[in-house]
Amino acid sequence: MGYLKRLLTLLKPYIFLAILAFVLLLAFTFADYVFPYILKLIIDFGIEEGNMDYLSKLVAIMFALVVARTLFGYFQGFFMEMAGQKIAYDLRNKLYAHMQYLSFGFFDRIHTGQIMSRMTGDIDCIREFLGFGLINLLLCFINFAATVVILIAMNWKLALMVMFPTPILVYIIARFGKRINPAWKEIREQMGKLTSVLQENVTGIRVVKAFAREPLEKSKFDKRNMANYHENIKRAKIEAETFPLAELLSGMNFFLLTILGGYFVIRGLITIGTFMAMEMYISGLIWPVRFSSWLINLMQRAIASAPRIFEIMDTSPDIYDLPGAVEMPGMKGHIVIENVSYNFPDGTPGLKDVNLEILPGEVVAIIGGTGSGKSTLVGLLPRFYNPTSGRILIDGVDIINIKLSSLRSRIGMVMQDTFLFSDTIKENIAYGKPGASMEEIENAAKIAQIHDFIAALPGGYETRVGERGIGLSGGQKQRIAIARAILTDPAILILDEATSSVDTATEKEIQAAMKEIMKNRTVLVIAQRLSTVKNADKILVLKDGEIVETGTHDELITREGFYSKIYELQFKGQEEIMKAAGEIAEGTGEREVT
Amino acid sequence: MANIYDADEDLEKQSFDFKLFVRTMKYIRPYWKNVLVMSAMVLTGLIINLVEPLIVRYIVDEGMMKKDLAVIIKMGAVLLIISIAGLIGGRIRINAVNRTTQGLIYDIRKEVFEHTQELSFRFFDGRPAGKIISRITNDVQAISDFVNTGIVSFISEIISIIGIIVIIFMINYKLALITVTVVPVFILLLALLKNASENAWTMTRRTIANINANMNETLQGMRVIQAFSRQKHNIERFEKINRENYKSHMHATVIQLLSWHLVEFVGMAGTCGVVWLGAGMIARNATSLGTLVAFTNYIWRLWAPLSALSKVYNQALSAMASSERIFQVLDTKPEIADSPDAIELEDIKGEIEFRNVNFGYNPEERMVLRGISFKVNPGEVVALVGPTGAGKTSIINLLMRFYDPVEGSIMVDGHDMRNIRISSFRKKVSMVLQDSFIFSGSIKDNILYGKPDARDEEILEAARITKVLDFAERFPEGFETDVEERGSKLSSGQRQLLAFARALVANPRILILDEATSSVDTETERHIQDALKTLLKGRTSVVIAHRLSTIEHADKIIVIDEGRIIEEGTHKELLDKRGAYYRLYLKQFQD
Repeated sequence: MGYLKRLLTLLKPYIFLAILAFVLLLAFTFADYVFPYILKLIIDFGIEEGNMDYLSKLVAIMFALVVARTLFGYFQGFFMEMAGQKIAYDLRNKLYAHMQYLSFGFFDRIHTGQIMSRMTGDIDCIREFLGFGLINLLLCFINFAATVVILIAMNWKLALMVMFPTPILVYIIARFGKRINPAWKEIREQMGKLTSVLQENVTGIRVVKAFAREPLEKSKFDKRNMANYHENIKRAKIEAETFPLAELLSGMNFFLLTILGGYFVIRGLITIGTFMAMEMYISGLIWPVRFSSWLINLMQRAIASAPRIFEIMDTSPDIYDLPGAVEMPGMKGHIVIENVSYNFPDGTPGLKDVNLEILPGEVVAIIGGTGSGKSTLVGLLPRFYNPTSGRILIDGVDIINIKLSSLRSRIGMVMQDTFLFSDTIKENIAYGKPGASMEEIENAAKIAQIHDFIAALPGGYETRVGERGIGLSGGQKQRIAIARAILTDPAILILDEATSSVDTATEKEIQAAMKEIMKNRTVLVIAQRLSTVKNADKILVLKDGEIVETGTHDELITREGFYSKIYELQFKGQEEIMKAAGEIAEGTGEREVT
Repeated sequence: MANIYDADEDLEKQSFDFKLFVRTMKYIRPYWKNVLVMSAMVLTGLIINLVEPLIVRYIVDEGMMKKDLAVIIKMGAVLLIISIAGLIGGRIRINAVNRTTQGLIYDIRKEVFEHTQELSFRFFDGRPAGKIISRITNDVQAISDFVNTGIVSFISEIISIIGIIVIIFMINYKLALITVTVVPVFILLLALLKNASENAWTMTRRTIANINANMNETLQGMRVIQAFSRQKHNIERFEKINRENYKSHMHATVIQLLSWHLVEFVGMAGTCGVVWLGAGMIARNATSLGTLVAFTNYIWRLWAPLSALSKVYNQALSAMASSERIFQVLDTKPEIADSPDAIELEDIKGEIEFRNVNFGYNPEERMVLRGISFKVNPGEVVALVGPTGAGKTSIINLLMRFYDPVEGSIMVDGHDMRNIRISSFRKKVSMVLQDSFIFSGSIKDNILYGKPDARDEEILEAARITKVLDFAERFPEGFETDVEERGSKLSSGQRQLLAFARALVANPRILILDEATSSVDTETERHIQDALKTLLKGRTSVVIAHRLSTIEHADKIIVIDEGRIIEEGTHKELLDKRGAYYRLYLKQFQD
């Protein structure tokens, strides 16, 4: 059982706590055994002999024992829970921290709901086993072994005969462990799937409602819910087949002792006193078995959960700092892309042999059809993915040799899907630079043309946004994201459709304000609207992952290619209208159209 | 407020929630037969436990003492039969318990989930997704844990306690009276710890929900987190939330352990007292030694079930902390619900009218729309234009009836929207949003979302028009390609196209396009627009677009600013007017 071994290593840091809990548990159990003895003393010597002094003393001892037992019990429970909770706490922290550095491919592969279910349900299963099951399993074992020794010491022949069903019992419990494990695996997996359906439903509720697909969602969930029910019933069946059988077999000890013991007594092989004593001790064979079959259930459940947790821990990030990776605080933003190709994990090509040089301070625009590889290309710069072949240099250093945190802190990104965190606007803007001053934050907001809007909110910069915050329009979110990227003062600024949801007028204003910001920075802009890209130093046209055209606006427009075609589509028709609009405007002095 | 995720936890602590308990127990009602079987089995088990010592005594007295092997064999057979009966009873019991608990989990999850599907956006706006998820998974689990072990042990312990109390009163009522004086102490103890215990359990649920909320958000925002190298900061934040969970668990543990062990302690200390008093009684010849031995023997057995009962009680409190959270969801009434006499719209023409609509997401704080009135005739194309945050998307939210207006009304084909069956209306409407949510599953599954019974030709047609076909064909698996969670395998432009296909396949009477092609390249956009022109003949459409070129052929353009309509007319009319639209239009072409 490889997983069991690995689970046990989780206990290592708290081994002292666990041992302490175990010792206390032994003491607690021992106290239980001493009680009847003291009671016997009280009755035999105290009451029967009428010695009140002695009696008082014994009662006092018994009371002291009660106090001690309570303390043992309390602290045993406390330390045990503490060990379990600490393990869960550590495990969650470790997993969370680990996932922070995992590559996006991982998150595409494993559903959010699955991860959430593992972080709560599966960790709980492990906690219950390590923090409760293990110690008690040990207790069961010790009790069982001690009982065996005692019984054998009393009369080995009778004892061996009485224990005749025990090997069968051990076999049945061992088999139970093997049978119940896949059942638990299935249950944990189902729970992960159920959580995934739930998570997707809640995050996509807008679409669900828009299409009035609640019935479909209900049946989707019902399917998972039902599967969960069935898997659990399946598990219960295995339990129902085993537990009572184990009880029966352990009850056989008692039965055999009574029958054979009777025979032994009649034959004069043992005294009635010995028989009575064995009758009392036999429970030490019975309850550990009953209890441990339940504990083994806990253990198997934990073993079923283990691979789900370890799978995450064992996924190593594809993107990590190489030994000797350098910091680049003074990055200028000279980018060289050499023979870079990129294939998606499923093998479909994303970029094919891209070569490109961008000088510091240049503004480069990338345009191209849907799915032509624009976002993929810019995603390579902060190393969201590694190129399949070729290399990328920044200021002459291969980015593979630059520390990730250093590289990414010098690259500011505004992504297509604007994601804001459930926090205040202020914290969201300062996301890339925690502790930024209010002045810096406002400044960034002003450039992104969002300051006035924020200032007009009743809560101002302290207004909550994100999951639970006020509803912002797509354009407002994008502008906050722009402010967030600007604030980090990056050497390289990547704007991936950063203003697609912003109205044209505001876009113009952002562009005007950005002009200042773009100075001394390398800027990569992805946009559909040519008005956004027209003034770039260099325009790249991507098609199916290849650069098919490069040049300035004026150069490209004369070539009969993708760019000129798009230009035609976007502007030709409009210029006529503009003419018309101009004619209307004529004489009003408002005509400023170029 | 320990952290930002606590903000929505507005549960009010009520004291003694008997009602809550009763309400939870109602979910057990459908399983009363199982519970009955369970109880019968438990009771039989108890009786057997009581009978067994008698049999052994009989064997000792009649068999061993009198050296009668036949008695031993006879009684042995009885023991064997009892054991086998126990085997069968055990199976029945385990099955009954599991059918009850698993059925209960299934029922509650189903009810809560189905209820959330009916809830309005305001419910979802106000809560992180992770917390809603937590209630349906972890909280339901907590209730079932209680039912699973709690009910059986409740039944058996109560029976044991009653039995023992009856017996000790029969043995010696004076000592028994003294013994029962500890009972009020128990009750007092449990009552004292009750509030602390409830609060502690509530905190554990809340903190686990916080963990879920944080997890969900982290996973959704992973790209931003990594782009901004915020990992360290995030890890610290999570550790804090995690530590709160740890602490609240330890807190609950302390209280739980206290109540278990104090109950035991009081019971055992009581025994000491009884022994001492009993010894005095014997000295005064008020009772016999045998009686005292028997008596102590019985009260010895009294505190185990009492302590077990206090465990059950604690479990119940823990479960109630969860029920409260679940019932809170169930008790949230959908704001937008069908009125009882809502009409089913068989077919709609697509006439839309806004009549003096006022609306705000938090009306007390801020109105987003003020006095909006406009009319769209069937088959018309209406464009909403205005700066970001003007209220365009809010108009669409109202049109979809995601929210109801604060004042005023929205008419569809002359009916007030509030009198139309929601689903019957929404089935006739399709929308494509700027932020298109794509479900995990294949490309085909996603298109089918718009019309589950669409024929293959319909799917193909929709995919062709929206150019989904073009990129689908590039994948080895074509339409069956799994697009992964939130469609992460696709580019954002492709996701928009897929959302478009999904909307078209539904064959809507009204089509809403909110920046539907903002991430799509111009060529594809033009292609879609041309296709739409023929496709949308006779259908009403409402379009939001920032590129004014895409809307100039609209039948009506409505210009909105700061929640009001400031201009309305055709492209030509508005240009002639030289107002806001005109300025907006010119601005597009300025450099």
